[in-house]
Amino acid sequence: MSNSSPQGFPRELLQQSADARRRYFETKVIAHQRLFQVYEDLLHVIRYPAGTSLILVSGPTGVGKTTLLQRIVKQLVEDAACDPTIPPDHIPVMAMEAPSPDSGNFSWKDYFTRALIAADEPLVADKVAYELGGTPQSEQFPLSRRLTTPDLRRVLEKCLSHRRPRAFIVDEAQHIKKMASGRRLLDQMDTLKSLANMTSTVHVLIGTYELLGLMHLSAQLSRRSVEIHFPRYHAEEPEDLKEFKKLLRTFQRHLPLPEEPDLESHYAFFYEQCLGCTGMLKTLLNKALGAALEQEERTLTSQRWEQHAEPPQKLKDMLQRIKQDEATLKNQNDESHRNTLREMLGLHALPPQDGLLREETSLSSTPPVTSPQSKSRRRVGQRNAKRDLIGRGAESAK
Amino acid sequence: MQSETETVCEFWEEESSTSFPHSRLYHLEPIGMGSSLVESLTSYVTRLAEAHSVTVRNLVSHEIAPHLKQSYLSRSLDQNGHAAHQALTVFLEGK
Repeated sequence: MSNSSPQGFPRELLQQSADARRRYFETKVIAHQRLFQVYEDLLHVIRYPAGTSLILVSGPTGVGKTTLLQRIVKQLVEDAACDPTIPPDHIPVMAMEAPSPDSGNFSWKDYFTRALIAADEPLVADKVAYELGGTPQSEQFPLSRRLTTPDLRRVLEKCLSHRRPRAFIVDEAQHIKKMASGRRLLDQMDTLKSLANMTSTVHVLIGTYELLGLMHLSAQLSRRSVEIHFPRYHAEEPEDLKEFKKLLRTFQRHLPLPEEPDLESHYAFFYEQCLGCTGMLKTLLNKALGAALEQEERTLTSQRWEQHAEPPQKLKDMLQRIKQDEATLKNQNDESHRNTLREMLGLHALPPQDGLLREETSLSSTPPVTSPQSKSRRRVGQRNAKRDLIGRGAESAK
Repeated sequence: MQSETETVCEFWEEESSTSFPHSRLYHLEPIGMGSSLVESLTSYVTRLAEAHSVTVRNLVSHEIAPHLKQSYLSRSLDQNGHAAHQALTVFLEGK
């Protein structure tokens, strides 16, 4: 294969240190089809929320969610930089990682503190609780009073309503789910929802498939939220496989080595190693490139990437888990639920073939029901007896 | 077919700094701006401290005094009691 591809890395990079070359590849962000689509969708909802206060982005581990977050942050910062009318204290976007609970239960106190740090709030350690319109409470009890969780929440609320970010993004949001019981899980989500509503700040929760189902805990919640799915590439879909190969091709052109390696023809190996998740693929290539640069090799060989391969057992387990979650998601969007839904809504009197039936009757030259005679005989308010009889009435009718 | 095997993905330019320049404290509008009843500096600083949920003293000593190049002020504020109170009054009310 030719090693002077026009879209590849700048050739002068080859003269630079191994470290610089490794860094070049590591920081390269490929706008592959999946990432780009989710990015566009998410950006659209953030820009035009239309009543949405929570956005949920879920996808398997290593699919590129954190990369997505970085790009969204960058775009929103750029948007704000172009706007001359923004007030001087405005922060266009805040992003944080939800802390993993060490004691099993998620701590909101820790969450709010980290959120304040993410908001670049000054004097986070010196916060005091103000009574409504009164004096700061800690002035009276300088050492004994510690801030409670609601106090901290109020501090964050004030911060968000002054800074007015367009989005508050939480990475690894599945950690919020780490609670003891289902009852309290709803409280968790309600806390976030009310924080988002009261400060009119769109909250974006990014996390693994563990986030699925969180939005259906209450009707209030699902009405205010939007779910965005960040799927992996599925080898069984020809379109996906084509995109995956295209991605490999892009990667191989940007590996800063004198000779372009041939990753594309080994696509099956790479697909198996990353399960269609691009973040995992990137990690593998980073490792392989690091080793190749250390050995000062001219190109990346199969020996290098096989050296960093994951054991098949581990990959199999991972895939099983991902497939399980994907099945849950698919079930959620399944069309068969629509029929049940319509039945529950009392719409089952209008079955899909109803339209066809009506067409047939209109086509036939002698409409039996809509004759003027039968119409005139009915009084105003009298029901049109078009319904099926149910219950005992139906039995006796037979 | 040849053209298809040649296509590659776009890439986004490398990460730059994603921080956005903003004022460190909130941008409160002084009450009564433009009128003769405009609020005093004391009132303004008090409201600013409340908005940030910190005490007036902490706000002045950690956020304002360091920019004033008046080391006596921050020194006095670091102490407890009368000296700190006096320094704060001097700063806010110019007495």
